[in-house]
Amino acid sequence: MAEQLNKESSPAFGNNLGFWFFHTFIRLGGPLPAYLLLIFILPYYLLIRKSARRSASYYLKHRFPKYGSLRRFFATYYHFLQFGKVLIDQACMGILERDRFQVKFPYKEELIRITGQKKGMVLLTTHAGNWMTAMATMDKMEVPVNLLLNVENSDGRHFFDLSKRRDEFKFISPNGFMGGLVEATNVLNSGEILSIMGDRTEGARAIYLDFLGEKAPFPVAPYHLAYVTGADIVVLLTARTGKLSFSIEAHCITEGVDREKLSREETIKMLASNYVTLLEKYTSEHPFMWYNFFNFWDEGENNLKEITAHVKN
Amino acid sequence: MSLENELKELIIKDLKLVDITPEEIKDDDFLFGDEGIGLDSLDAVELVVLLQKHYQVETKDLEESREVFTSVKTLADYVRSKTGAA
Repeated sequence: MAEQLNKESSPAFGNNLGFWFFHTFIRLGGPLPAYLLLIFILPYYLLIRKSARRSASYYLKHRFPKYGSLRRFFATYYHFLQFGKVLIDQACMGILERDRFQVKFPYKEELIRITGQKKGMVLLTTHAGNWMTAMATMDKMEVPVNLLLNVENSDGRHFFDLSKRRDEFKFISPNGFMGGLVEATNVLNSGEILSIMGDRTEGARAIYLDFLGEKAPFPVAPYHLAYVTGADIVVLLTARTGKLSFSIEAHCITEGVDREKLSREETIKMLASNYVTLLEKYTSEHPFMWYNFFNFWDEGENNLKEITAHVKN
Repeated sequence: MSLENELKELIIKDLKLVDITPEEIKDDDFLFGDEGIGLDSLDAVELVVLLQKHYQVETKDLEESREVFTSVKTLADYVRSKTGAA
């Protein structure tokens, strides 16, 4: 069960009863009582739930390779604390009034400009910070926002359900026809926004790139879609900057890449490398906001389909 | 050239397939999966764009797409039904 949850979302954090307690605390007293409750619950995950500790260790040992076991133990505690606060903030975003939040998003005008070109936009998100923050600000975009996401297995379901805002987004299931990519192609061709997580391959075709000192697989699909449809790719990275306070960065990684002159493989590699460079910078600046809790450095080689298969340079 | 043969050539060219010629693809061969010519979901992305680019045909109905993307024959039939091509 824990392994399954590791693959699907967070490392077995919480169950329905636990979520009910947190949501009730938030409704009654705002985020502070929920943060307080978190402090009492964390030792359970840290001391008893070995699977949760192991899930965090994959990232921490890459991010802090020189840490001994004691420092890593405290790093794990702090990592869990930050993640717990982010989950509480996500629930707060669904439950509390919007004016309680502070979101710094200086790049929003740029996003509106790019979508205005009507050539489609891949919004590349990551299991880091609070990507729901970014989704919460997407409602004012002038084009529809589609998410290639199995929302039922995502931490994001709490935000979408609590805020009753599922209807504002269209969810494309990665378990659907052709992994949802036919639908994804159509929405990009219609000039719409397609949000994809850039740090999970889910067994699909991948490209291996150095990330925090070791090769890790990244999904090819976002870059392939952009190459074929001519859409732009914007990487969204969010960070928690305080109580109910967030900042959002957006980086257009297709800008300046001459796709006419590069082959498909060269384009995919360049764009994926641009994404990984941004991730390394992000984890350097926000070391405890990476919440991809599974060992994707060691994702089964058997699942990897070489990008060159069937493809001629 | 028949529409089927034209599609085979376009598939090989646009999807950059190697180790396969148009003659080796039968009209009824499955396009996807191990039993056919082995295309995958990323190749489906290229097929959607191929149909739009060369025939101005869209594949927005997913149930219909399941049928259409079965083989070269089903692709050709779909293009004919949308464009009246011979």
